[in-house]
Parts: sequence; C-alpha cells; structure tokens
Amino acid sequence: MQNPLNAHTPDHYRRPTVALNKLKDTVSQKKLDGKKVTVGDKIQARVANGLEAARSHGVLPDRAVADIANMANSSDAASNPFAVSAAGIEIRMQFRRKLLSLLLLNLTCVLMIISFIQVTPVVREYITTNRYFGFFSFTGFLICLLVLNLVHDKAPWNYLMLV
Amino acid sequence: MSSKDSPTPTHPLAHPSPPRVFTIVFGLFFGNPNGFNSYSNFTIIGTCVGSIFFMLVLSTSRWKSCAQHRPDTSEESDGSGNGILAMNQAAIAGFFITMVPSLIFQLAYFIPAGHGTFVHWLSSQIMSGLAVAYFSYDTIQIETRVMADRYLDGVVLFYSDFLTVVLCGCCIAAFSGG
Repeated sequence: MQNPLNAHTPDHYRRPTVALNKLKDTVSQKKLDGKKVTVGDKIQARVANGLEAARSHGVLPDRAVADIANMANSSDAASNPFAVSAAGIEIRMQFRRKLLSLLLLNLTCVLMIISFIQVTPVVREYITTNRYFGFFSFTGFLICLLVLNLVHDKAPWNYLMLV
Repeated sequence: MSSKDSPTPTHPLAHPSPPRVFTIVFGLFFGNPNGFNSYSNFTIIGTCVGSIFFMLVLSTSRWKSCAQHRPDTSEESDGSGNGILAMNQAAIAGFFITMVPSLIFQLAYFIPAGHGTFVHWLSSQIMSGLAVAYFSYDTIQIETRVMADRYLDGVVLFYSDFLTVVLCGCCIAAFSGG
C-alpha cells in the first residue's frame, strides 16, 4: 500500500538525483527565461556539482545529498515535509527527547572534566603553571569545531568526532 | 536469508576505542583554571546542563493549558486538548528555574570559599543565558532541517553550527579593534 504522504510529496524531497537536478535547473531556467543570473544562483549550481561529485565518489550518502540540496535551494528552505517540524506532536516529542538527552549527556561529560580539573590539586596546579595550555586548548577547540563542521554529514566520522 | 549472511552493523558509538576528541578538548578548554579563576566555567556549564534538563522535561511534556490558551496553533497541539510547550518558552522557563539553585550554590559555597563574587555569578548567568538561547534557537532550526531518525546528526549540528557563531564573534571582535 502506498504511503499517503508520499503520494502528495514532491519527489525532490526523497530522491537525491531529482533534488540535484532541481537545484541545477534554477540557473538554467533563469537563463532560458532571460532573467539575470545572480551570484547566489551560481553558488547553487556549484553546490549541486559538488554534491553530485561527492555522491558519485561515495563520500555522502543519498539522504544527506537530498537534504543538503533541498536546504541549498532557497525556494524549498524550511519546507521539507519529512522534517521533524512537519511531523506529528508525538514524533516531535520523541525527537526532542533524544536530541536534548544526548546534548545533556555531552555537556555533563564536559562538566565532569571541568570538575575533575578544579577539584584535583595536582591537575589544577599543572595546568595553572603551564602557560601554553590555554593557547593549545583554545586552538584544539577551534580545530575540533572546524573538523566537526567539515565531517558533520559523514557518518561515522561525525559521531566519532563528537563522542 | 540467514542471519549469518547479513553482518550486524556496528554502531559508531560502539567502536572499541572511540577517539573522544571533541568532548575532552571542550572540557579541557572550559576547565582551564587560568581562564576561569572564579569557577565561572563550572557555573556556566552547570547552569547550561540544568537549563537543558528542565528544557527537556518542559518541552517534551503535554500541557493541558498550552492547548487551551493556543487552540489555533496546530504545530504545538494535536487537537486532543493537549499540547507541548514551544522551545523558546521551555528554554526561558528552564533557565529561570535553574537560576535559583545556581544562586543558592554561589551564595552558600563559592562566595564564602572566596571563589568569586556576586558579579561573577551574574556574568556567568548572562553567558549561560546566551548559550541556552542558542541551543533553543538551534533546536528549532534543526527540527526544520533533519528527519526524525537523524537525531544524532542534530547533536553534531549543534556544535558545527556553533562554528558559525564563533567566526561571527571573531569578525565582530576584529572589526571592533579587538
């Protein structure tokens, strides 16, 4: 039996190829109509080419390609019918529960590390006397954020980077 | 097909030796006593943890009055008379609930022990409030972007989106002459 949601849902939300073509067609359609192609449109076309290359090399999974392509297409932004915001109240509650629980767990681990440093005199003394520690920890934090940003769509590297 | 033919997928978090890079570096950066002599790092992260806990409880509970006061908002109510709190409301409520024990802790322990003053606590609360506001705003944005089964990606997105905030902060500091 066909899912009634799928019957009324545009294909580009489910199929990466359709989503990529839709992204590319924005530019070609404007050229055909004689409209001015903006810098944003050219960026969209480049994003589409990049996503296509990433998909063909197996760097990005199909679902991630479809999601990114739909996000990059400004006309479809925030209108994904498969997104949590479009789901029912029960699904949204479950999603929030999982998402915020994981964030809470992550921040609790950070709090435990902070507490360990603050209440252990040897560790605290070592860090206080080592004047380069602050620089290295800040640089490491920024590098980790950067790497996390680069791999945030590449499972399992994003999860391994986060934990 | 027998179960032997299909290898059991290994969950990334079940990796035997996962490189706990980000959390450790995050903890070391915020736990640096040189940067936070007044224990405000503990107060900031502690208040964030408390606020997110209450945010989690409040935003995932059904509220009768929520649907009664806002019957037209279909996104927060399922039409059965019960609704859930919007993220921003849950964040504000969670933050103010956490503020009370945080103040008691500061007055009863940190100030008598000489680890900071009331002004330190106040500035920590401002920082925590900004962090909680960011988390609540980003939760709303994540809900519009990802599907329900990709909640792990949502946690990654919290931090990867934070890079944009850090870069904006660096740009503001640079253009302000700092």
